[in-house]
Amino acid sequence: MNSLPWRFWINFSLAIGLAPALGMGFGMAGATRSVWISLFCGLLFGVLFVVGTSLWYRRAMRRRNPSFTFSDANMRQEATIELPVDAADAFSLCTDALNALPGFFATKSDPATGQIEGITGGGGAAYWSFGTPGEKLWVKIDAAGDTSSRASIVSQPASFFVVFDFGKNRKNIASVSAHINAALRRRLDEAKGLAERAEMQRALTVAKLNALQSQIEPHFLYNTLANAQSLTRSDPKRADIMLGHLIAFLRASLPQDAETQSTLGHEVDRVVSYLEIMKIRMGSRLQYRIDVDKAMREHTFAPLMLQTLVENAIKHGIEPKPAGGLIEVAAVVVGNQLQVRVVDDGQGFATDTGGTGIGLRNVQERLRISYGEGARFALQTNPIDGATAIISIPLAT
Amino acid sequence: MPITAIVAEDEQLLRQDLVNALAQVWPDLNLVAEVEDGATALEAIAAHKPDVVFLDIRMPGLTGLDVAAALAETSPLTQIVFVTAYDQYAIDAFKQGAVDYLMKPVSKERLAETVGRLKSRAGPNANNLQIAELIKQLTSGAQIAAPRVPLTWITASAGRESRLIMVDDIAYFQADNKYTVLMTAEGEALIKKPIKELIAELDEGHFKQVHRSTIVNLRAIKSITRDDSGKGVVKFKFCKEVVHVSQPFMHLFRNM
Repeated sequence: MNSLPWRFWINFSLAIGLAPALGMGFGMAGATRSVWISLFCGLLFGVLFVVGTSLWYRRAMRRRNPSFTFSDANMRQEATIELPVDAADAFSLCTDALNALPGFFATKSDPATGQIEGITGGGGAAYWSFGTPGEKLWVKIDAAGDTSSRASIVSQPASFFVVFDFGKNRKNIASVSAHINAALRRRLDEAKGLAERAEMQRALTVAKLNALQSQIEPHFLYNTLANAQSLTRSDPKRADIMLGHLIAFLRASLPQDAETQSTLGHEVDRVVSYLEIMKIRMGSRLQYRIDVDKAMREHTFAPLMLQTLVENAIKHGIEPKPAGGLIEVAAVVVGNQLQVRVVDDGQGFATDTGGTGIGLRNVQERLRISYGEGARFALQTNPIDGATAIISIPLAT
Repeated sequence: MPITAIVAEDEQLLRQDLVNALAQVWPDLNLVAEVEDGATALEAIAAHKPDVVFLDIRMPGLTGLDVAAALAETSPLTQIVFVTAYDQYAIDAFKQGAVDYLMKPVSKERLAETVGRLKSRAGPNANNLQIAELIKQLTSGAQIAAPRVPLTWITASAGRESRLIMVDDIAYFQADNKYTVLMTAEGEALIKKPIKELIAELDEGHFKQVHRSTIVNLRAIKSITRDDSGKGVVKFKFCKEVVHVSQPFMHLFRNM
């Protein structure tokens, strides 16, 4: 029983004390027989009132929290929060947190001693301890070091007569500490935001280099040069054309500056150089079609993605298929999304295989870095032959 | 009897080039077939049983290595010369195994050297059985090395089509009868690979098994809560479905 709050006992004895008087009043009004009977009735009334309300309160609280005991009803709530900031900073953090409480009014705020006092409930400065709604709060801040401090917070009902607080004081403390935590996290996030942007820039460069590495693979370069060499003897004119495409392709692929955005037109041009080279090498086995009109070419588009998709279509779709096939690159605007498709009618891919290749991961990575959640990448088999890769990005407005 | 040969190379220009060069450095060579893919190469070799075969490694259908591996049985006396543009891994193996190879673009001097060796049957003397063994090592070596790199994508069937799904986009894998269901923001897809095999192939830093039949993507998790019975319930950022964590796996999420 001694786990019951002291306020509970004060109110209990008040009720016990008042009850006989009340009972007497009732007794008089009813003009009953004896003073003792009315006194007894009054006492009984008082006890029943206190026990009844307690039981009702307990039942109400257990509905929310099955393990509720009366000691949880201790209305005076205290908490100590360790803050990783100096005392002056902690003072302003606490002031903000207190002001966020509904109807809070500070009755005392002294940065020198680190003390804040106030009352919630919208009553303002004028409160009286016998009947005002709301809770009174005390905050005391002590420096615990150069960059750390301790805030002790106390909340209790402003009115002396409150028996049950419905968890309001507990909530006040939780709200103040949550508010302080949120403010601290925001500060941390801001600092992290800067670090993240730098990290993103780095990731972008790495992605660029990775893509570059996978792009000008030695196999491609040597094979192309072998073809060009052969053509210089048999067909110098075509050798000239092929070397022209190779130069255009290399120029577009090697990093010139820190630019992170390209236009779709630029990307398509590079892909065309690549496809032209492959066409000379693979002969009639490779056909291609580009369906990107002039307006589409102006849209910004992150570099090196289209190239990877076309390379994949050749490497995994057309090359393994003895009869060869057709690659189609098309761009359309659907709603506010720019959709770029690479369709082939080659080998396609089988269900239930997995891969560890870096090409697709690079595409994914680049989309995420450049467009965040707004971009989508999908690769699926076609109903008849081959596969379709689709990149959709939000249109720049 | 003149020496017979077959050239297998998918790129027409390079094939023509090699044929022309051979005609110059080895005029009395009898070129019985020129083929442009692996399967045709194997057929032609079986039919003609040539003395020499020039095999490109990257070809449609069967690769040059596949064809060579089959030669030990089909035509054990045929001498193999690999032709490749760039394949450091294979070339190192060829050097060690005394297998003849040519690098593209093929220089006439290098070709003449090879031809000289072929004529005298000196120099590289690995027989086809040894070559088949070497190739077996080459290809299986690549397979052994693979599982250490975690999967980045998976092909799965969604409705009537197959989709390629990046593993990062998957919220969770769940066993369902004979199949494994993968849940993504766009809905679910099916694969046949069981949970037990998957967990070995996925990146263990990002994918954790939380139930006998469930693997979750840690990066897709929004929250983990405990229900009344003490079981964990995982919610995801991009799908409404929830996943239950069974008791033995709850320690994964304690104080993470």
